[in-house]
Amino acid sequence: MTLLSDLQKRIHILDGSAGALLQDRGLPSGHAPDLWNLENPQAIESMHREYAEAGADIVITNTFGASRLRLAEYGAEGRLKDINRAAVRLARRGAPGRYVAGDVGPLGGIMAPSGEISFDEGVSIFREQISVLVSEGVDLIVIETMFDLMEMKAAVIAANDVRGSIPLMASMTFTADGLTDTGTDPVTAAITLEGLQVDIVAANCSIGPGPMVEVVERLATATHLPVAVQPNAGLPKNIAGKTVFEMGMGELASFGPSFVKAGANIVGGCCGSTPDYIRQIAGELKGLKPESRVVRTSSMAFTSATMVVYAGEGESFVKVGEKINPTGRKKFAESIKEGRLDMVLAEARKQMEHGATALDVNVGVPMTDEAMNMGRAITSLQNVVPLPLVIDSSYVSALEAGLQVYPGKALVNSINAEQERLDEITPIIKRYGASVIALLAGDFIPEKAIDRVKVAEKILRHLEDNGVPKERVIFDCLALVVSAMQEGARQTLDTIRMVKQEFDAPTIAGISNVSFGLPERKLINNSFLGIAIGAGLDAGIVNPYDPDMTHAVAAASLFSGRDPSCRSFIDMMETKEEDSQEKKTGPVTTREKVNHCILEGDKESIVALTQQALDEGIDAMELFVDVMTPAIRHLGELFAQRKKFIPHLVSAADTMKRGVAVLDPILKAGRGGKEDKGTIIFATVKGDIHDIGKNVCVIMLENFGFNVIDLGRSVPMEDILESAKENNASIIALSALMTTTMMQMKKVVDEVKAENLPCKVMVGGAVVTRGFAAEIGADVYVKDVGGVVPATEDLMKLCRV
Amino acid sequence: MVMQNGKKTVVSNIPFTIEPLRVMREMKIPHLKSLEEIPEKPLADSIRKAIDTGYSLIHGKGVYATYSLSPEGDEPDLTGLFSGEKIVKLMTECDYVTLLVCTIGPDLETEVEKLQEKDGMSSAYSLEMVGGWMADYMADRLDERIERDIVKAGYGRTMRFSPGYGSWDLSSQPMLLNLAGAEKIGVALTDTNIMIPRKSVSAVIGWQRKS
Repeated sequence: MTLLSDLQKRIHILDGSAGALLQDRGLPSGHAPDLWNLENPQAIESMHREYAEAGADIVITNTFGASRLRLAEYGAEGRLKDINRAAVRLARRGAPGRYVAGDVGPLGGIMAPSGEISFDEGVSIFREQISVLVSEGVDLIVIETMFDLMEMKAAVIAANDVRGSIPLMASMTFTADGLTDTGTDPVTAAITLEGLQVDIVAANCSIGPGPMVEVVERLATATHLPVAVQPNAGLPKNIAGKTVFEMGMGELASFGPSFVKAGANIVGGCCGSTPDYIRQIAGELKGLKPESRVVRTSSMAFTSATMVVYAGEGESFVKVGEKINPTGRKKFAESIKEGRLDMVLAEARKQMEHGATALDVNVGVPMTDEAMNMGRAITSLQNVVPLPLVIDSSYVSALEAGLQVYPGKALVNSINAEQERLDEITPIIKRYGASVIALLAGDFIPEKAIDRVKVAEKILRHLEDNGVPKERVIFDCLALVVSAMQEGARQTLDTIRMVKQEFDAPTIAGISNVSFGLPERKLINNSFLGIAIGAGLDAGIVNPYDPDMTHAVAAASLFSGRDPSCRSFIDMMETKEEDSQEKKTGPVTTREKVNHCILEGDKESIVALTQQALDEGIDAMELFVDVMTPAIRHLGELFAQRKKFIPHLVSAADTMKRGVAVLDPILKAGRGGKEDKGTIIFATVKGDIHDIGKNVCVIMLENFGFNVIDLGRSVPMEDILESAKENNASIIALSALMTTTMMQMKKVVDEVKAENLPCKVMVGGAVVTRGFAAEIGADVYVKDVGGVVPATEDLMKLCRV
Repeated sequence: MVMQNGKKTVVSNIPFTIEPLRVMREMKIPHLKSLEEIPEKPLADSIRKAIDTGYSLIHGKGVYATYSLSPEGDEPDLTGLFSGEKIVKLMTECDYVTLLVCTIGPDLETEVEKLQEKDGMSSAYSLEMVGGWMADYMADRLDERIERDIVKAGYGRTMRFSPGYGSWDLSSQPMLLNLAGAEKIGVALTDTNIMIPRKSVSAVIGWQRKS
């Protein structure tokens, strides 16, 4: 009798919580329950006995926190072996004839890339504990209450390193929205965990039993593996410093049949449940057998932490974006060489926006540390795109560096039939639970389809013999350059058909190279893509930016059983953007164009247009006074009417500034330059380092011809006053963004008055109000950028009076 | 005790999405529902470019630590941390408080400075606005994590409260940042208690006893 075969025959009962029960028996608050394995073994043994008597088929050792970091919180890391050994022995003694599961909880810290514990360190910590549990002869290892798929991955890999044939249960914790804390849904979790070759997938803790029924259902539809569930006794409540679960045992047990119906093979309890609860659950489920399940069948799946992509017959065609690749792209390669990831991230987002369903990631640039770059790229990409990633490198070290920071089930690109490559890559595919692209080539590319199939056989045999099942393999049938070898295209199509026929496995091909050396490459690529999909191709490494590719895939999917009821195609065509708007009548004369350019904020065109206007003989002063200024003044009016907004003003001001820069040398040379409209000292007050609003105001004022002296940010009062005197300023303009710094404005106002300076003081900034301005005696308050020019003009009039 | 008193937990690489609509609202562009609806293409392009740039410059990090409000032994006494009627009253309803600091890092701010010099104010302004709400976004992600700890321990949570809100003075910033472990994520204070990088948030969340 083994546990795994037993699970197919009847529902098994797991035990319940240890914490609540031990606290009732005197475990002091704040004391580690694991320490009681040594300090109060009788209590632990009797707990197991009570659970066994209540009907538990499986009892879990009291070792949830018996790993290095957790024990270190109590200064007990030196007793790790003793605590874990004692725990297994006590469970055996307390529950003879029951399965004893060695319990492993979270690390007690956050793993990289989110936290500070490296992957290797995490694996090492888990392995240290699990190896003790294994050496003591547990029947099952339970890794539980994991909310981070990355941490679970480290724990499972650690367990796989030492467990031999001992079964492994991996239990994630889902919250009320059906996701883990890090956003993983049950389907993604199940597929990733199955890839890591766990034996039982499970959910425990966090929420009450109600929402967990759906979690179980989703786990069960994603995998054929047995499913376990351990709900809390409702939601916790802290009463007089004690965490209490208020759901009664009858109510918790009443969910038992629903769990079984949803697909559970094992039902137990988590926080708040006691032997009495387990007795009720066991009673409720007595004699029940596991339900037969409908599992989504698919040849292969790969995932990110939050998304799944399926590749296979009847599934949507998988579009793997090819653009994160430095080959032949100088700027892209240069950015990677400089350690920048901006282009990688930009390509990722752009490809996602263009409909890529997964992204190939290749950061191989000669003379760089590809492993380091791959680790950084995979880490950063997961921050900005949820899509599953294809880790692409010729170097095993780079593949492994990517896999170590990737929580989901990655797709590795690629393995081939070269013995060295097989020997190097197979172990890491297995270890990290990845899927793999099998390139149907070895030392050379076979010409004939029949020979490529032989290569497929060789690769598959090697993978299966070394613990990587067929369900994790997708075959690259090698689309070759058609201009060089026309027969090659036919052989590729034949290979696709034969691989599907022989192995019932999915296929993939890189598409863009087929057209190399020919004109109209996109046409050729997309024609080939359509034909290949017709032959059974399931996935392509493609250029997502080509809309014709998207259309070709959509149309070909209609003929290959990938678009039931043609729904996706119809939807796509219905939402296709129709550019039916009539072309607007644009500005005609150069004056109009300059004006329009400022209104539009088109800073890229303004310099050339201004120069063009000058070349046409338009007077510089006329351009400034009659063309540019009215444009920005008009925008100000539209702003006042709430028809245009601050970004429009900023954009227009910036554009005008560039135009005025063209005019300035001419204006200064002739007729004494622009009219002297007065001098303004502008500063962000002392202690305040926010200045972007002030900087925008400065540009606005300069555009209107004011002489603005910008003193910058965090400027002491003394410097402001000195500059005002020195430059004979008419206005001191002050900005502040913090409530704590705005009182600096009052100091300036007071000092201006005390010294009787001939300056007006203007104040503004996010926290400044009209009331505050009046209270401190400022001359004018400016609400925002839009108000700065009119306020200044009014104030200047007063100055002149 | 429901958690390790004062243990500083660092969270790095916080995933994020920059929503164009949110950026538009931050820029005070009302009504329009997407960048495509902005009639001025250069402006829309500038915002789009700022969002793209933002994705490579924003590096969300946070750190938090939870303390008992009835300290024992050598546990830190938080009495001096809170000032102002509202926060003091709020804390009397709590057994614990989590102190948190998060940031999007210095890169976006540095780029804004550079853009002001070399590319003009509109690019800088758009990027500044992209970053404007991202520190709060990171704080929200940290907040979710903390809330789960609170709920799991059977407590309710208070609102997230920051120095500078109401009458809670900024002079508490040094103590808050020190106890939260802000140095672990590279957040420091100016002599006027403003956080650097500027796009950072410091706050507290109380563990409120359920009635």
